[in-house]
Amino acid sequence: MDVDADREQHWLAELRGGDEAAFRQIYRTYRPCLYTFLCRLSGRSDVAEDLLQEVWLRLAAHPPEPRAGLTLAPWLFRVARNVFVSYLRNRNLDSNRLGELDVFKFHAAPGPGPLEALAESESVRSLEQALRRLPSTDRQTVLLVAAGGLTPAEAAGVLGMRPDAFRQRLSRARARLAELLGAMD
Amino acid sequence: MESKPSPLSEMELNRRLAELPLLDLPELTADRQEAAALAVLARRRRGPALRRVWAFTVRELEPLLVALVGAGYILAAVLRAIAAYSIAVLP
Repeated sequence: MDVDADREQHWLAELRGGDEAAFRQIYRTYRPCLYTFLCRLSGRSDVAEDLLQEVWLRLAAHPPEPRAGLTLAPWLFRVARNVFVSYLRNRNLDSNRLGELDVFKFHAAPGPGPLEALAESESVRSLEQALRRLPSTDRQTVLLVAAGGLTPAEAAGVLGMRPDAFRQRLSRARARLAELLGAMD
Repeated sequence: MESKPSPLSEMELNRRLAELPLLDLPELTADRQEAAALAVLARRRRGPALRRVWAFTVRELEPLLVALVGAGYILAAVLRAIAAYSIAVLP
């Protein structure tokens, strides 16, 4: 996902003018990493697909203004994360309402998640499982850096945190993940 | 006494995280998502173009509309004068 900053600025300028080729370039470059991020964040591929669609629609409708220092990856991950947080909020509201009606009971899906089922090795499977067990904020923190390829400073911007606070949170999240993996292995 | 399992080392954790595979959308879904976003892009592109056309039309037609309204007033005044003359002169 290493993209030249000048090229990104060019894509953004073209995209703001409504250029389809620029959109396609961005779409092809960032689709896998955003989809992977959303899959691991939500634990569901169908939800990740819907959320990813929302990210692309937002990019097409309101692309960021090209300016010095702006890189696309943090912008896209911030949108993806906001879309996921909105999804969580709505889902919790829905589940609360349905819970009040006592019609449906929401439980975590039993058995392995889709990512664990897809994992080719035991090592990856246990890592997917451990990531799924992490609290959502810790999972976001680890994934932005490990799977998103963002620098800690960029990831801090995505979460709206100061870089030093983010480094502390990342360190704690990694320690929890290491503990979980240690217990599982 | 059962000992607490030791956490993974930093290096081992980095190695395991680097092993995580990158996923991608199924081809059909990817094409559908791209098409939906391109449609939004096209709509956005057309939006300002339509506004430009509308602004051009109003700008170009405004003098013509003013001239037409003015001509209408003059015509009405002339007709009124003819009518008044006719009433006064004709038996």
